[in-house]
Amino acid sequence: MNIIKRELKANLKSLLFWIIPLGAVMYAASVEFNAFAGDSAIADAMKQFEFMFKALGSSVADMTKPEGFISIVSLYIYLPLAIYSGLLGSGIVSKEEKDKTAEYLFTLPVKRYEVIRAKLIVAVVYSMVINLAIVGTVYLTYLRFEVSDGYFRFMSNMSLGVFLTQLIFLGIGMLISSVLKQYKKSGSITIGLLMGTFMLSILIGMVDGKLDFLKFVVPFQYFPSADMLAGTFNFGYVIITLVVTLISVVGTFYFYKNRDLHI
Amino acid sequence: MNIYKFELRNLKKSIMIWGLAVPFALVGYMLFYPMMSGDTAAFETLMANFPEEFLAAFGMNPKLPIFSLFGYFSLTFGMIQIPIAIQASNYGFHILSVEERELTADFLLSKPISRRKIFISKIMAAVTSLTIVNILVWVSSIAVIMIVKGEEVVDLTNVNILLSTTALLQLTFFGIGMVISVSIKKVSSVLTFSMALGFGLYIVASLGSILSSGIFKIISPFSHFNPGFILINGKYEWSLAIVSVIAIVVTIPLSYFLYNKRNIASL
Repeated sequence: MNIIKRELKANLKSLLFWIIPLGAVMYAASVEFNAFAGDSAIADAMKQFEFMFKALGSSVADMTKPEGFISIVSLYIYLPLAIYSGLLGSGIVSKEEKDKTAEYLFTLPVKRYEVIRAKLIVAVVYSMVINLAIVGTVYLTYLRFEVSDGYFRFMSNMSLGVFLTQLIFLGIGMLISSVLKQYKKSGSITIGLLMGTFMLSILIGMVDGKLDFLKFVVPFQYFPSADMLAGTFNFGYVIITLVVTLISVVGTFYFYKNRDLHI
Repeated sequence: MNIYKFELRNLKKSIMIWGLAVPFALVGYMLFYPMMSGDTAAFETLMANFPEEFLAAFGMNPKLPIFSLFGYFSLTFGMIQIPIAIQASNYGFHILSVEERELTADFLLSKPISRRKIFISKIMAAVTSLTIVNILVWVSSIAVIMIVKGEEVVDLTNVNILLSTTALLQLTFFGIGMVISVSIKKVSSVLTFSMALGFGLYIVASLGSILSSGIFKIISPFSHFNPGFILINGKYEWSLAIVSVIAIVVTIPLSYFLYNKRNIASL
C-alpha cells in the first residue's frame, strides 16, 4: 500500500502535465469548431457526395455535427493517451534503476512481485484517470452544441476503445522495461514502436483498402472512431488486445523476478 | 574541440538509428505511391465540387491531388516531419541537461574551460548530428522520387525548396527544447519531454488545418513549413515561417544566457 501511495505521488506531476495542455487544446478546438457547427451548406454538400466518400473509404462522418467532428479528430485523443500510457509503463518499471533508488527499494522487506503489482495498479489507475479526464473534457465541451441522443453512448464507447489501446501500450512498455538489460533503452523502444505503428496506421488510411491485412499489427486501427460511432467493437481485436495485455503483464512479472538490477 | 568530439561520439548511435529510420520510413511510404494512382476519376469530381477550405480539412488540395506524385509526397513529408522534429527536440532537451542527469556535472565543470566554450561545443555537436540526418533525408527523398516517378517528368525545384525547410524545423525544435531544459529544475526523462513537444505541436498543427484556424497555425512549427503550400507555390509561407525564425533567433541566445547563469546541481 505504501508503494502504491508513493507511486501515485511520484507520477502525479507528469499526469497533470499531460492532462492540462491536452484538455486545453481539446477545448480550443471546440471553440474553433463553433465557426462551422451546424453549417447546413457543408452538411448538404457532404450528403450529396456521400457515395463518393464511401467509395474512397474516407470517413463519412458529418463534420458539422459534434459527433462527426470528434470522430474526425479522434486520432488526436487515441495517440497522446497511448503515448502517455506507453511511457508511463516503461518509466514506472525502469525509474528505480534510472534514479538509483533500486538498491533502496529492494532492500525493503517486500517481494519483487509486490513492487511490480503496486506499480501496475498505479499505471492502470492513472491511464484510467487521464482517459476519463480527456474524454470527459471533450464530452463536456461539446455539450454546448446540438448533440444527438447517441452522443453519450458514442463518447463512452470511445473512452473504452481508447482505454483498450492504452492497455496494449502500457503492457508492452512494462514488458520491454523488465526484459531489456539496459534500462535506458526501454523508453526509446516503446516510442519507436508507437511511432512506427502510428505511421503505419496513417499509411493504411492513405492507400485505402490495399493494406488492410496489416491492420492487426496497428493498435490504432483496432477501435476506429467510425466503429465507436456505430457502437460496434470488432470482437477479434478485443481478443487480441486482451491477449497482448495479459501476456505482457505476465511476462513483466516473470522477467522482473529474475532481473539483474543495474545499481 | 574535445567536448565536441566527445558529444559526437556519444550521439553516434543515435545518429545512426535516426539516420536510418527516418529515410527508411520516407522511402517505405513513397514506394506505396504506385498503389495510389487508381481511382482518379472519382477524385477529380470530388475536387471540382467542394470548396477549398472543406477539402483542406481532409488534407486535400485541388492543386495537389493525393494521387499525384507531389500530392503524395507532400503527405509523406508531412509525416516525416514528426520524427525529424522529435529527434531535434530530443537533442535540445538532452544536450545541456545530460551532465546533471548522469551526475557528471562536477567532472565537466571543474575542467579549465568556460561555460561558453562548453555551450558552443555542445551546440555544434548537436547541429552536426541534425545536419547529417537532414542530408540523409534530402538524398533519400530525391532518390525515391526518381524511383517512383516512372514516366512522369518532374521539376525538383519546389521539392528542394521544401527540403530546405528541414534545417529550420530542426533548429526550431532544438531551440525550444534547449530553452525548456535550462529553465526547469530537472529534465527527468528526455523522451517524455520531446514526445510531448513533438507530438503535441503536431496535434496542434493538424487541428489547425482541420479547422483552418489562425492561432493553431501560428503556435505550431509544423504548419509554418506546410509541405502542400511550398510544393504548390515554390516559396516559404513567410507570414508563418517568420514565427519559427524568430523562435530560433530568440531561443538559442536565451539558452546560452540561462545556461551561463544556471545553478547546476552537483553531487
